[in-house]
Amino acid sequence: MSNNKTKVLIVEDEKPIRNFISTILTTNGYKALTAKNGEEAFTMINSHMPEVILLDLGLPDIDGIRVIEQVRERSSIPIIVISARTFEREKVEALDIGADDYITKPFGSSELMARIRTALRHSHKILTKDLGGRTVFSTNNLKIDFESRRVTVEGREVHLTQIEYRLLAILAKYVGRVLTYDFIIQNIWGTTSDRNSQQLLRVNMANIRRKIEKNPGSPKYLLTEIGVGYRLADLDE
Amino acid sequence: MPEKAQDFLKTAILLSAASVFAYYAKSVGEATDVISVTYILVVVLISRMTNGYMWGILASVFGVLSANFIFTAPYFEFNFTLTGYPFTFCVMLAASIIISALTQKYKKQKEEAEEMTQKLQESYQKQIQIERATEKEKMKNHLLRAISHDLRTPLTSIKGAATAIKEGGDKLTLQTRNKLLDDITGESEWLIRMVENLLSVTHISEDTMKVSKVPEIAEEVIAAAVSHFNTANIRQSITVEVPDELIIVPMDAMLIHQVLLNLLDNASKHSGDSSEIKVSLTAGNDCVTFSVRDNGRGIPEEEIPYLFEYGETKNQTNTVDTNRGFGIGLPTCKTIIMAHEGEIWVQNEPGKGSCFRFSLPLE
Repeated sequence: MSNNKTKVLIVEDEKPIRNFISTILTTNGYKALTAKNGEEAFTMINSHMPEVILLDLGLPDIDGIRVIEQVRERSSIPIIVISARTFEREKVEALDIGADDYITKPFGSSELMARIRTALRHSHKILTKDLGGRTVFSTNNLKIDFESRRVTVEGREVHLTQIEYRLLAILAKYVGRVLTYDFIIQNIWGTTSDRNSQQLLRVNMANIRRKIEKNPGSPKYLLTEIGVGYRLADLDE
Repeated sequence: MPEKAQDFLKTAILLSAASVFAYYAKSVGEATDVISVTYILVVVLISRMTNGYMWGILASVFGVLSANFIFTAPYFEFNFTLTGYPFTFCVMLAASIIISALTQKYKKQKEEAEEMTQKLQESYQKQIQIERATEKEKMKNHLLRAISHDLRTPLTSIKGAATAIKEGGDKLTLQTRNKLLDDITGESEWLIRMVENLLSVTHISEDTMKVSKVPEIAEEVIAAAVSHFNTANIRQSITVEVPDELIIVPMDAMLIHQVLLNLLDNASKHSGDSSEIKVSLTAGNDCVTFSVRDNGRGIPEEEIPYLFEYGETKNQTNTVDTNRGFGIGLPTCKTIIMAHEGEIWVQNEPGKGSCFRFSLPLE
């Protein structure tokens, strides 16, 4: 039955890391494929057509960013970047160039599995053209009705400004995934990101948080990824 | 213009002016005294304004000769037999020499004083540089000692636990195995935090010991740190309290995130399992204060002076197991807060818990 298993490609040059990720994937019912450099990665992608790619950006032969670019020229396979916490710029670049998400080294198995599930869900939505077709979004007690533009938390209606609603809507569209400042600013204001627009974005996010969160200092839904962007927590998995 | 040419020009202009003035005075019938006084004045001025004795002496010679030549009978002819002539000449010459000498002395003293000031300043700066370098060297050594000391312990337990599991094989009970695996996880988490602390310090500019600040929303940084921390295995509950108003503080968010993580980690490790941790934010007029409070057992008074120093734990011997000192977490917090021109301190009540606070300036 191994043919029915979801195939996940691990592109990572460090053998111990490849080993433990493979083990985690296999025990969780995935089929793990491995590549230790960019060249092997392309061969594996072409011959095995994996459904998710886990990509370490520091590869010995080519820059991980170039791998994302080349994969994106031909396909929309979800790519999850594996990156260290202090390399914020690297993550943002990878996300802006087409990576779907990132996971910060070091990570545990539950975190990795959650990321893979989110990535798979999104890719299925794209395949079935489900994205945007839904009229109601909900995660835990937060509901967004895209038709009437109504947002409720625990049944209580929340009044958002136009911009706040659009921000929440775009985060809901990509629920579970981190969206970079640049991506959000491009989509909402149509301008390139600079200091002022980032400040405007942050203030708007803080205001949304005050309206939908019980405690804005310890948010449940609207999460900040320092130096990268925002994520709407996927609480229904 | 070279100095000599300048001096020549000054001399020429002043002498011409004196001659014209004297001629005019003479033509309106003033006494001959005015002429010699005018020349003396000019000689004094020239001596004062030029370098060396030469121009002053030249001017006095010229003054005496021209007074004789132009202004005394027979006009436009020299007459060296006039009464008082050698006397006038001597007075002018003496005046010029004395003034020139004084001027030279004054100039030399001024130069010396300037040179002295510069030398003092240079040596002062050198002194500061040396002090800074020694300070840096000292900190680096402390840090290295703390790191190598603190690295060995977790590495030993990781290696030990891993080999124990491998060699023990089937003979180990599931419970023992899990205990060893928990140790490996815990020790590696500790190592990771240490590496992240070290990396964060590299964000601080080595020359200025400052960070580049960007306006950030304070509650976002707290929220990110708390949620990051909550994913780790902790036993205590964490509550967060932020004011209703939005507080924007200039900071390096990654570094303040690290400070909060360290303080949370510290509170979680040293306050006991049943304690509650509370993170709060308060805004003042010119600074904001973050605090991480626990109601655990508190810190022994004698350890407080060493909390924020690299490699200076009080109990150097008691580092084998859980009490490996406070590691480099709190000293890193201090380094980061100092680089933000803020302050960090601890309020401690033995038996009732401790509260770490740090403030960041708003401007």
